[in-house]
Amino acid sequence: MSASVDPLETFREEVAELLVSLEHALMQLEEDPADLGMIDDAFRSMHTIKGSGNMLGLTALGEFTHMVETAFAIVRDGKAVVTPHLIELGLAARDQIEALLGTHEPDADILAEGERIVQELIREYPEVGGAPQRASIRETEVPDTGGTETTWRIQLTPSSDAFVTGNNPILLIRELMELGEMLIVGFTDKVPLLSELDPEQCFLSWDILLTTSKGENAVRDVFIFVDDIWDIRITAIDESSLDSTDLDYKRLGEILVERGDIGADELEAAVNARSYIGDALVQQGFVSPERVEAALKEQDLIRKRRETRQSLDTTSTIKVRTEKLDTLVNLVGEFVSEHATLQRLAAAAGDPEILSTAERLEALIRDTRDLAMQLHMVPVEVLFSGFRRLVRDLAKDLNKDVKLVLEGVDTELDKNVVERLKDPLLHIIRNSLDHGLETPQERQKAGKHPQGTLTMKAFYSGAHVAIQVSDDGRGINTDAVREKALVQGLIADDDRLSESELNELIFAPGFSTTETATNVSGRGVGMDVVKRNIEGLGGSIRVESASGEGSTMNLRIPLTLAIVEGLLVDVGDQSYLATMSSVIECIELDDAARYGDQKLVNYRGQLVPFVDLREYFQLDSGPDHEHAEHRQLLMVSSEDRMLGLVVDGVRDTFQSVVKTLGKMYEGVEGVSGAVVLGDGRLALMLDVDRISRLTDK
Amino acid sequence: MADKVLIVDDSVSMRQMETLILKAGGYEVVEAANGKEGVARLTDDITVVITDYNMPEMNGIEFIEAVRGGTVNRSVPILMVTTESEAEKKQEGKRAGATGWLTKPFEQDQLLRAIRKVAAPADF
Amino acid sequence: MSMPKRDTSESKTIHLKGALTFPNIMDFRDQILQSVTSCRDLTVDLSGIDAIDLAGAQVLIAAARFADAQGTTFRCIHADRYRRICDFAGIRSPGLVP
Repeated sequence: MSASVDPLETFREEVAELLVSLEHALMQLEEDPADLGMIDDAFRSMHTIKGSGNMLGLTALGEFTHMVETAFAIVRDGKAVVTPHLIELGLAARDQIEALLGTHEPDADILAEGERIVQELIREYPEVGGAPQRASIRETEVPDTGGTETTWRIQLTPSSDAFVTGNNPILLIRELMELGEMLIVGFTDKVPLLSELDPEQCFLSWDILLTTSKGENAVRDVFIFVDDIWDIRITAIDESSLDSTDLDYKRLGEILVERGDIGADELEAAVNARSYIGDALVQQGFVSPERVEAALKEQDLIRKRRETRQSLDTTSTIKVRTEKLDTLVNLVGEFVSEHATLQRLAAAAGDPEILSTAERLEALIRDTRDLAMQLHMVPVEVLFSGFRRLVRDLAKDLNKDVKLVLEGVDTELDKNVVERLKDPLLHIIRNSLDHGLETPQERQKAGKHPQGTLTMKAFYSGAHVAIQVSDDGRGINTDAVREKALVQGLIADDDRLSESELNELIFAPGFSTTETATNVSGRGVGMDVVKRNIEGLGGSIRVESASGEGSTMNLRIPLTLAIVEGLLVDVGDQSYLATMSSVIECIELDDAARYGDQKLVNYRGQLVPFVDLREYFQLDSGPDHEHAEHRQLLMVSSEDRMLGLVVDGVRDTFQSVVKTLGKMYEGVEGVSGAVVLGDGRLALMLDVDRISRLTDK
Repeated sequence: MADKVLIVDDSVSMRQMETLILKAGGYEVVEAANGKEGVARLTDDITVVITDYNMPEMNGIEFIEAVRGGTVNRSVPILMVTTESEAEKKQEGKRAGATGWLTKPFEQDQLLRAIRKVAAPADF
Repeated sequence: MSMPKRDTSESKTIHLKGALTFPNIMDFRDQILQSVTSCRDLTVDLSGIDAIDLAGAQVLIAAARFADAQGTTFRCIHADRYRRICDFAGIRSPGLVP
């Protein structure tokens, strides 16, 4: 025998040996047709060839040997006798097997010969024809019945030899556990006293309540090896599709009778005892306490399941008009503002009762606000999938082939935010298709797949949602950008700009690189408008691009527009609000080690740049800051960096509805909105990301 | 230490196939060419046994009876391999003390799943 | 497998060792049975047991029940494995100090 580990090769050698012994058996049978041992040998040779052949995927061989094997089985079982014709056919079969094994795909001649032998076998032994081999049993995956959960009562009594046959109940219990939620009660009432116990036999049994959506077959499959040997009863006792308004499940006595734990007459006797039914049954020795306990657990489980289901049914969804929802969110916002006033007044009045009422009210408002927020969230899918048609049509107009890929469509955003993102995203997509993605010909020339890909992806990032729109197009042509910016006077001739700084120039007001306006991108509305819109939402936008590889627009959008929570700070005579999500800590400016004129501060061992907001907003009223006492350093995080903001004072946390800025503030860089304070004054919302980026330069 | 599987089969190619699958599944393999050899090769550290039904010398049923009635590792899980035409042998095997069965032809996955079904440790 | 200790007819502690599982179950049964019948108060120390299966748990259950019928006090100590397998299989574990 060879040391080969190729089973097919080994099989060929094996078959060669088997064919020798088959031939030998047939010769012997010719001499002595009643030699049962030889018939058995012939049968076994066929059987082995069939089994291994099928395993190796040699189906023609498997099917043929099956027929021959059946003929020998008929003779072996005494249903027919060996005839010279069988011997002759057996020898022909032997040659046929050799032929089948010699070729990978048997040709028509070989198959015809096989068919002839089979037909002759059938003529000799008609039963052969009645036993065609089922090609192979492929396990048919039983699909989940999906959705409907059923609670099964599984009564499991292993056979007494369960331990010795290796069918350990623990393994089956473990398998059941994987199917769903399980409640198990084991019974020991059949376990004999130790003096009477044969410890190799199993006397344990179980009642298992399993709630699963996997369907009956999945449950039965667990017991596939034991179902005819163990006593297994599987009953559906509750279904989620069951429209049962009747919360009460069966009575205890009924359950016990149904399980076969007690008889009807025993139940009657116990009922007559008029004490608690379970106790009565145990006292009268009709049933063990364990079995009563199991029945009670079943009763309890089903009752609970029905209760849960009913409460789910009655609180299922209702449709609400979005205007009503908007009104609710606005009302909650107003609530928050009013409450801030109340709290201020309460503090001023110094009345502890009013103060504590105000505090309790705050907690309630907070909960209401959170709820209103939740109601107002929608998945970005609504937004994204609206672009499918647009991309398709645009691509067609531009003679481009573009695939749109959407990712993270379950990410939720405030409905108002979603609406206000539509136009900016539309513009970004147009730009991508028009300027970024190339025509199939151009792409092929560049060694790319002729079909371009536009990916829109959303994901949570702290209190923000990040939205990325990327294409695998040509990327931003920084040379063209630089030229254009020079012409437009946006940069000077000797400005040394980094790649990313050049990229950011596309957001400059009025900037547009294409000479000829196309139908798609049009002229006039540039990326500056997109940027303004995004910032108007309290968000930010940045671009990344690699020449020849494509570009990505990174949008960072606050989860919600409606209400902002922040820290109120004073700079000069103006109040500003820094959103809570951006604030890390507030420290005394004097405590922070400064590095001379470098505008760097040593914050927890890290050099962090800081900005004096008084300088930044060019507010020169108030005391000269060089000598000001108690100025504060507000440490904030912006995108992925830290930044210090020097302010005159820190007041309080504050929640409010955000108002969009009026004309008056339009030109102010670094603020993104305003809130109305309790006293009616406006506080400006700091756009930390923006300030951070401007400081970069 | 890897679980050890004893394969009892007279067909070398079957044993090779099963060995390839089991080794790929992380098992160690011990081979025996018939029931008699199977009984001799069964040791206490075998986790599970796969035996063919149809074998010379000592067939699968006789092998299972010998193991269950013996003293070495007698409660070891045993899977009996049969072809479809031997459906009634399943019952015979169960009565003899087989833990489960596999029907030829089977796929890699089916073999590994059947082994896992009976061979996971069941003590605490 | 086990070592009887302080063998008074009144109270006794036995230390079981090894795997309280099917292959050894006969020996364990004999050992425990002999101890239960020879004292009024039996403590089974399972600290030396490194595995238990259902056959093992069944022997302890049967022992507790037999002791009860004999009027013998029966308790298992260091019985974490016994407790775990009973909890898993939802069976009561008599002889355990709660």
